[in-house]
Amino acid sequence: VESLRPAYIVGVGASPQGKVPGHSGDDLAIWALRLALEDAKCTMADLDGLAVQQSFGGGSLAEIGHRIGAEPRVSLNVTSHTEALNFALMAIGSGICETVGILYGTNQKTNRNSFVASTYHTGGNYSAAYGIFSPGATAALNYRRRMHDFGATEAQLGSVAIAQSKAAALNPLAVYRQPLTLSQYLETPYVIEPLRVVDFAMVSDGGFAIILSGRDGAARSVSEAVRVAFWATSSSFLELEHPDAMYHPSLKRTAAELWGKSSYKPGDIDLLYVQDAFTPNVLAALENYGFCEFGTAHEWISGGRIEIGGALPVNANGGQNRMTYMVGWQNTHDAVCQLRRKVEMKERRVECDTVMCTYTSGHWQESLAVIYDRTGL
Amino acid sequence: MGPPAENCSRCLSMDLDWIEVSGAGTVISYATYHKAWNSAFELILPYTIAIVELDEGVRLLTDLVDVAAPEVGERVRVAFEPRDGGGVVPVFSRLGGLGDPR
Repeated sequence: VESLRPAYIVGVGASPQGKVPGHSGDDLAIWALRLALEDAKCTMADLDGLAVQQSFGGGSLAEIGHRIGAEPRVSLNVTSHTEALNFALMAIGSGICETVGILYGTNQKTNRNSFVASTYHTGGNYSAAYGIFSPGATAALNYRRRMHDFGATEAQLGSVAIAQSKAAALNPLAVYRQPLTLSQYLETPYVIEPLRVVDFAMVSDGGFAIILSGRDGAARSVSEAVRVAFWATSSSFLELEHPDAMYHPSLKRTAAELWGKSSYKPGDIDLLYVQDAFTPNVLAALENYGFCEFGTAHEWISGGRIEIGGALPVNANGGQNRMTYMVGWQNTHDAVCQLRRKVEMKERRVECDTVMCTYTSGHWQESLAVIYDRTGL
Repeated sequence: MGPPAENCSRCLSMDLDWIEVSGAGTVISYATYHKAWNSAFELILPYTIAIVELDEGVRLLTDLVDVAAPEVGERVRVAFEPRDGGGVVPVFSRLGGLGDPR
């Protein structure tokens, strides 16, 4: 978005991930917030903007707000990381807020959230009457259609889970750290065929918090600020009725704005993060954002191209799929760590000056693309 | 319009009517469940769900029944299946021949 004040990420925080029994979702969000404030060298008094993402097991703005003694200028409850970032970038960009804290925490692993509902909005129990459960239904239908339209194979899809499992193996924060081979991938049982267990992100407990600031707020922060170089966003609530429903066409509008209004092009991106509740999401993002031709992503990702050390590493943290189910928050956190050169294991470090994160919500109704870089204040 | 809706998403009118359709359609895509999120579906695993586009242009989320090896683009025809708790739902079975999947 043009004509806005620049914004920076000045602090990030992560609680332990995976199974963290004995803590509510709000505990984990606040755990992360404390670390993020410490990282940003600021206090609650500095936050004039606050957004809390609703979650399974927590995420009430009123309850968290009270627990952290928040007295911001603007506060809101949001339902996605996309909405939280959009708010922060608009609030800082317009000058209404100088420093915004956004946070999310859940204990859905410990409390066994099973994601029964599909993401289709069909009214009442219409989907359930057909046995259409889980948001994975959309991704399975989409990949099956890709197999028909472009000759994609199940083995080709395996490249996504394999790349992300290799990255997760190097990430101490990751929940699933076993690297996966193609034959292991193909032996994994189907859940919703053609998708297998490892094509689904597995729920986890955890919390993340991000502190963003304008130039003045960032200048106060001693830690290294990561600049939001450009961002673009759009929403579409059309589902089956869209003629190209199989390929998440709403992303094209975000991509058109991103590349059309900025001076960036896909080749400038050194490292990409895609919100990947399901592995086919990575293919949709690669194509819609123009990293490869439409209908070719399943071939394009072969040969380790999206692995660390490949031409375009994707989700170098293991992603939502293998690192932790933190609905996009884990990717912002890792983009910042990579740009700051603060990644524990050197094998996981990606040579990067320009990093892009793509965010979505449930059924990809909302999309947001942010380009982050190392340009200082 | 389909799936069932309370209003038209273009003009927002809630003044809706039923119209008769042919019951024939084309498989846009399908997926097969190997896990039951609800115990009612455990006995019929694996089962296949689909998006079917009726010849009149409406798209439905539905089940494919009696279709051993389904294909995208396959022609299907409506059948009606009872569900526990009363009511029937439209499902689709094989008609033969490949249509033009859009």
